[in-house]
Amino acid sequence: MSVLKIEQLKKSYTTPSGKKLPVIDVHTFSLNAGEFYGMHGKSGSGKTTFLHLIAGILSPDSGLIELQGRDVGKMSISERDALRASQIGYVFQSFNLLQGFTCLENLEIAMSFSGNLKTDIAVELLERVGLKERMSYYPYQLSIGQQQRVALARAMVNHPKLIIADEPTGNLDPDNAEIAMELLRDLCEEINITLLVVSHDSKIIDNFNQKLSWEEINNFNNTEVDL
Amino acid sequence: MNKFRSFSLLCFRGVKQFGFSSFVASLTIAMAGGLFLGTWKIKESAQESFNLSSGGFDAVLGARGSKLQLILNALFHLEASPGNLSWDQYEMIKNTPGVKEAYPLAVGDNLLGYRLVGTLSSMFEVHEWKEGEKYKVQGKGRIFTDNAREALVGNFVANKLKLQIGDTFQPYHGLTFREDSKHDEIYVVVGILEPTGTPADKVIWIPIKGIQHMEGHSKEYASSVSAVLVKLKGAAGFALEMKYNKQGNQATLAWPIAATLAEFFDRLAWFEKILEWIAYLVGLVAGLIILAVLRNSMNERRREFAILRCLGAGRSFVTNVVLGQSIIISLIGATGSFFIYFVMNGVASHFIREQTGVLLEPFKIDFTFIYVFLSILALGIISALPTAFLAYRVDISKNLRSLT
Repeated sequence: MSVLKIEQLKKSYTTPSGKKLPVIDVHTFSLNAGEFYGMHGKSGSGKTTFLHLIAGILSPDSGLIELQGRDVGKMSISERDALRASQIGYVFQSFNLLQGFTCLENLEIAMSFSGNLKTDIAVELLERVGLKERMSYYPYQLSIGQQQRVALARAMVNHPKLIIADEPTGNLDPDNAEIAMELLRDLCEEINITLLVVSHDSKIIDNFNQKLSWEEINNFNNTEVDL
Repeated sequence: MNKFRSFSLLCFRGVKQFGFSSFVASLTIAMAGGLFLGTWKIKESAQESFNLSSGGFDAVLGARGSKLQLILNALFHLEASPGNLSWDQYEMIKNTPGVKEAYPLAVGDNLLGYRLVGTLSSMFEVHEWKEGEKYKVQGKGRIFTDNAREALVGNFVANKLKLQIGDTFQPYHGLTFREDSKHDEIYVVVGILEPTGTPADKVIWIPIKGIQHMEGHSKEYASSVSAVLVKLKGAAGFALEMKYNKQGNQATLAWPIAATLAEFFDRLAWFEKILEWIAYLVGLVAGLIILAVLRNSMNERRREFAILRCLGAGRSFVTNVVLGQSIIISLIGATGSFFIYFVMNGVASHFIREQTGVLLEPFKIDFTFIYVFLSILALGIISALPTAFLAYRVDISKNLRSLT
């Protein structure tokens, strides 16, 4: 059963000179529930735009993005907000933790948007990523590897259906990258979440059984776009 | 409720994160609000207190001239007497139908700058300075005897000059203190008045004959009075006003006292207007500071808002966070403005009491405070709107992408 189904998805940007610049043209794409996918693609080839379309952060020009049976493209902005709060967990290369808030608060704030704030679940998850003792620490008081573990916990905290990880190891050294990826897979397996990891690093993608190539998925993969 | 907790957390952390700028904005709001309250309330409170401090009298009869000068001189013991009336004129008004009480006053001497006011002892025995309240003398003291060199000291003066029962003093000639103008007569303090919060506290009361016959005073003094304090019955004021002010040309009747005092306060209207405009300007500056604080914080918070939106926060949520932050700054400012007003009121109260003996009405909450409070909140919200709009429109994709 597929969690995500995409058909005839197109997205273009308008350049400062007013010209339409196509970025995404995906004929078909789908992810099955509970499976882990690793997608490889060059930097600046539109992978992040594709992920933003899936998460409802951007709107497509045309096409279908069906998440859990609902067309994301046809949802209102507030419906998409609600979708991100409850169905999608996002992991970024630069972690994007809220700097003025403790590790626990970062998780609690994410939980509050799904309407299901339970501090004990947040604490449990921080314990699972080995940071229970540091739950009152602010992100700047943690190492880079620890910050990424908080970001992983935050992405999982609402038990979403899909985790999107955009270059999750891009800022980590090889040891921390390995720890983070192992943790990410373990957590997704425990909670039965579909995982889509996108990276330009083929070593990361090689560890996945389901390997995808962005160049094969996107028809505009020859175009270098910096968007 | 969950979301509200995050909302509060984000608002308060926003204020804390930009603590100094938020403090400056709150302080400016406090100054503007305090100035508004000071401008509107202190004058109003002073006018009210002056009206209440007329010592239970309805009118003042004095030499032909300004009604205001008459009231300021006879009731508030300020400024010089506009001239004298004859003792006969006092007797005449005392015996006029419609006059319930009449007490002559004579001024012209002082003790270390505090006025000596001559009158009759009956004023302290019969007259009610406030409905149902007569003057009271502290402890074992008593009211002066009309034919003796005795003094009944107002409470404020007694405290200032540390006068006690049994103390003696020699008056000085004139209304302002000059060391070389000491009279020979020696007065003994026989009583100290209980505080009244009226100008009666600020003078030394002696028998009127004392002033009239003081060594060095001209002989005309002996049969004249500076003014007569009058308490009326019914609607006698109209007839008396007609008699003295319209038909006569010997004396002036200052009646009604509140109307004359209102004229006095109206003279201060230009000053009040200037203060009001200054308050508007400070308010405008406060609004601009809030705008600048939030706008600057927005530059740093775009990323935060993009992250929040990515986590599922709605557009209205991040908009409200900006407004909430501004409301917190405004609330702190509003509290500060009440504090500033409280201090201003205290200073003004002290100053007015020192100068006139009138005690300002204590700090009491009324509609003006609610109006200022709501205006400050509105100022905060309006100043935050442009930034709130930016937060509403924050481009999630762009602000997340710039960091990846």
